[in-house]
Amino acid sequence: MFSLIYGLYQYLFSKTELHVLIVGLDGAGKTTLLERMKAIYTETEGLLPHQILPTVGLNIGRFEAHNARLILWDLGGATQLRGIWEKYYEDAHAVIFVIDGSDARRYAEASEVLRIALSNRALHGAPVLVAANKSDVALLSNLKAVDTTPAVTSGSAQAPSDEKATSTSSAPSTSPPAEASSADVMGKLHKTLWGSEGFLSSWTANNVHLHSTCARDGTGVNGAVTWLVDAVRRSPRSLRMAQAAQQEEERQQAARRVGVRRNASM
Amino acid sequence: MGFVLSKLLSLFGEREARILVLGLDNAGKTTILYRLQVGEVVSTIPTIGFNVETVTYKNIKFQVWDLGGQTSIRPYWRCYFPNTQAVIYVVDSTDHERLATTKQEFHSILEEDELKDAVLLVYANKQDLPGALSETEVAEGLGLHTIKTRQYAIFKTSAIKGEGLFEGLEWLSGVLKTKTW
Repeated sequence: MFSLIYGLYQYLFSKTELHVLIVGLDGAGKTTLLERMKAIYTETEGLLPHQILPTVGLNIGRFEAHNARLILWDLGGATQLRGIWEKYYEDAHAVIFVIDGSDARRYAEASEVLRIALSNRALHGAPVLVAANKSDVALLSNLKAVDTTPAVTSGSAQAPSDEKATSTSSAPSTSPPAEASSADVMGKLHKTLWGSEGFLSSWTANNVHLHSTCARDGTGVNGAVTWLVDAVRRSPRSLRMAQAAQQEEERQQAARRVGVRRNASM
Repeated sequence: MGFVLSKLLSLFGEREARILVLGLDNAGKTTILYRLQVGEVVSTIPTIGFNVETVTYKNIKFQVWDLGGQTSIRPYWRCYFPNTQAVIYVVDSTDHERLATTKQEFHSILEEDELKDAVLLVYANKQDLPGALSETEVAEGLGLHTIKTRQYAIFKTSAIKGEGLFEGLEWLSGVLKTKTW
């Protein structure tokens, strides 16, 4: 029994490529994160943030990290493109859900989109890394909006969207100290997702982990990938998928052998 | 010799890319080609054979091949497949009846070994006409989601109005610049 599981384990991490789906709202930084990973784990430089356009299809990343071969599928996050996501669920070992940590006004929307995605049976058991991205901007941005507008975007909160420069200078008296901000972002996001009203507080279908990242400079990205690869290794879903892949391969080999024998006897 | 020369040239300054424009007849391939090249809408007749033009965009010299789309000449597309870096697949978004046909042609292109490294750009064309399908509907109709091993993008375009075409090229140039071939 042990050897069987060990064999599967070996199979899973030698042959199989692990499929990681990157989704999230538009503008969260999914492609920037993908390009950053390419830069970290491959010889290539990857696209720089200013070269990246909104994704209107699929971007692919392929590299090795922590002794696992990964394929990343980065899909467009615009509302009209989200219908494509579910077509990739079944083949995904894990999911990275990217949230723009600096935009507290869209936390509730992101949470809802995540809830809808995880409610799909095809994602049952997949480890989910929630990347609280743009931690650099989040540090600088005024977090007043975080405390005053818990869920739906109100009219007044619409105005100061032009990130760091304007928001920090417009209300310096109310903006908390920089060190506190990062923790506040994580705290607030945690509350949105796991708080009394957050859907994850009673969620058992997936192993979900919140991780602070900055795709722009790479902070936290390796940590996120480390968690992800480890979670995939421990996930029963991966084992199931590896088992299915192995059975499929054996079936094909058997079919081939039958073909050979038939040829030999003729 | 020409190959060596073009390789050398690509080291200094401009890169070159060979692009095929494919799709059913009357999808708008030739109109797109000339809209990209001369920036105008030219009157076209059904292409028997091919048109080839060079379009320079963002320091990449695109050699664009527009191949005739009629049923009888589609089998000849494959003569042009070698050394292709990208395929622009044009769909007439108002042609609901032939969506299944264009899907079939599209998937036979995907299976071609010589095009397995080519980048895919889909133009959901004729968006200026009433009844045009959205890019999501075209994506669904083409079965784009079955692609899991290569990069693709889909853009809403109107060759007549000149909308979406350069956005697509912009995407393509970004992808091709980071690709090594």
